[in-house]
Amino acid sequence: MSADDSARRGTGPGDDSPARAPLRAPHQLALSYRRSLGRAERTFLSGLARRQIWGSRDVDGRVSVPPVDWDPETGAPSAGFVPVDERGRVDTWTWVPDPAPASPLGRPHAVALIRLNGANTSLLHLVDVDHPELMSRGMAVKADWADPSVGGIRDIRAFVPDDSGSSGDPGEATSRSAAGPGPVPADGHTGDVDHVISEVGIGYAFEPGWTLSAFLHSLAARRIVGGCCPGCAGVYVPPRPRCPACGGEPMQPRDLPGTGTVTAYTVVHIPFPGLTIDLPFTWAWIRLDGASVPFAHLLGGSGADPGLGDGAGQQVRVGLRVEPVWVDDADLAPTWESIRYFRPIGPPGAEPGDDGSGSQ
Amino acid sequence: MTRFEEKVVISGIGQSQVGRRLGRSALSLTLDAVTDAIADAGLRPEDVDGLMTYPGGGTALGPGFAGPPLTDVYDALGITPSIIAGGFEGPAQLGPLVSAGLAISGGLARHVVVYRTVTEGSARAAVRAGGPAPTPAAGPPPWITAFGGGPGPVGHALLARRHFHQYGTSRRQLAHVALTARRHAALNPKAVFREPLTMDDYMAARMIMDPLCLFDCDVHCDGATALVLSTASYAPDTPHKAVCIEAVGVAPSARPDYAQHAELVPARRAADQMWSRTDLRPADVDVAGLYDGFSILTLLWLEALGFCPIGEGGAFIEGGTRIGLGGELPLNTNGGQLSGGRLHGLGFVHEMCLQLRAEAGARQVPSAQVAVVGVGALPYVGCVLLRAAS
Repeated sequence: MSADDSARRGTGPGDDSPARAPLRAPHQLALSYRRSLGRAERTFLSGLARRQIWGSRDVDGRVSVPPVDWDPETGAPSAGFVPVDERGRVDTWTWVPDPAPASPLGRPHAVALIRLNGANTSLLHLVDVDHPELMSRGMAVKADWADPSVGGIRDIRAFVPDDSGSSGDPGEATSRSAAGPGPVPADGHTGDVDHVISEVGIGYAFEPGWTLSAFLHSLAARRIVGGCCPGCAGVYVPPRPRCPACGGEPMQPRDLPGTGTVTAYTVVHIPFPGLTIDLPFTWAWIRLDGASVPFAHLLGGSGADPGLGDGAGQQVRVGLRVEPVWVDDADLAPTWESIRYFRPIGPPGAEPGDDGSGSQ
Repeated sequence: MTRFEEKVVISGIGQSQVGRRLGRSALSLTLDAVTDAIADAGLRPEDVDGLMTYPGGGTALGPGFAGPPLTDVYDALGITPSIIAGGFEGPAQLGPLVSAGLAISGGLARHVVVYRTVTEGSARAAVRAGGPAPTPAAGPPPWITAFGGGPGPVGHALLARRHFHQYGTSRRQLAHVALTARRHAALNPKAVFREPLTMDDYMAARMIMDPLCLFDCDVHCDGATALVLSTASYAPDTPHKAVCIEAVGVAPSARPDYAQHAELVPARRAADQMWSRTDLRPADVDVAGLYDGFSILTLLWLEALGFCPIGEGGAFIEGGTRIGLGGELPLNTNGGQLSGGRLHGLGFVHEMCLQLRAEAGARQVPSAQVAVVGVGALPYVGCVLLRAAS
């Protein structure tokens, strides 16, 4: 609450005009991640595509479902792959009364560890029943297959109660299921699913806050409004919520003239990620008249539009006096890039319009 | 005051193959270096009860930068450490060395392995060859700085420009960081660039971000470096001469933005802290390994550590004699990161240990007893003074 009060006294909203409102920029990151599969995963997913459930057998004859390439306890390679029954019994379960939006069933359901007939480990999956009273440890369930099959764990839509009475005998069930699939190649690869594609995405919004929003709005109005610390009188461009030097707050808005001095510069000849300007360009620290610290911005244009004219390299120096070149009115926006670049304030006798900037 | 430094020693060192593009995994290189270091210390993997790195898993700072996660490394070694630590924030690449020393002196571990692994050579080559390039998420930077902002390296060029402007430093002076490193690299069989480099080559080199040219930027490589830090009571049992940690400096620079520093030497707080923890003085130092991600940083480290007054770094290295082998302060004797390869910080510690153990071969500084390492750039910096065991 106090931060909000501070903002209202300082460089915060101050009034209710839309031009002072805090900014918000939504972003969406997304990528398709392609992952190739190992032997066990290939066998498992290829089996699912054919409505079969496959496990791996270790050297002692124990069957893991889903299959593994290596015994997790001994590190020994698996001895081979075997199909197991699509029926089994619930080992343990929990009820999900309020599924997340991404829930595949879209309604309350159980999550259970299911010991399939012929397996020595349990498979984690959903059980689709209407009510937790319908769930019990040891209950018989069977896979309910999705249509069509795509070669993923969701090819099993869910497990459902199995009333056929055939879920009780693992040995019998295994042999029954094993009759289903065709012969197993020596490498255990039973199908064509050799990769999975995961769609990965994350959304976020960047909110620069009252202080920086007010600054960016000022740029959209061809003004540069920094902040003056009430404690040490330091003037910052952009303004900060608190003074970085003494912690004073809130900073008071301070209109700055735009003219300033180059404190350092470099001509950049190499690209880097995120760069939106052509090479080469001159990047400079510029301290505006009346400001305590410099900020970084373009000095002259870039690439084919160097803005400084021929011989620019000789012209640039520490101590150079500069002023902003703004974009056209139609292009003004709450961003640093409303200033196209800074240009030298011509020495006496120079033609201000000669720098090719084409702006005022 | 009891200084933790007195309670620990560097008991072993190790290094993998080093090269421009080895095409080997970070874990594989790391295991080479780590097993090398453990054996060098006269230990077996099961004797190791701590594992630390900079920065390690979960840190995305550019292709090939982070090195393998600690969990992968201890799993592959088949050990179960009592303490692990990694991360990016801290006294730069010396972070794990300092943390290891604190852990040992505090009784949490007896033998801690510290590693730093890079595969930036291969990873960046893959990006150049058309692989997926890392693109920063659109987010805060455009709000704070224009046009995607300058990358970190641009700040170093601006720093160099300021130094040139304020103190009259020249490219011909700065060149000696790179030229000296190349002379030393010729004596290091593992160095990436070993062919001679002349002043004419340097002056004619293409600009990257002027005044920094190609030879002012370190060379990305693949390689892993490892150290074993042990409780000081183990020192007599090491097969090789133990290296003592005389003092560390870990204080970060005051502000996180170069543009807003009143002075140009961000490492001064760390350096002052280090000297406050020892009776040794800069004149006692026989050999130095000073961070050269960009050559200007080496110059600033010389000033920060008090080898010359602030602003006189250019004059100090002029001609290159003083910082060459046979000079009063041989610098980056393995070729540094500029020519030896960007092993990123810990490579300097490895080299200084070789020097103090008198195992540096053709580039040995005669009877080197005290060495200093300074790593990092603003705001993360760290330095350590090393001493041969008496």
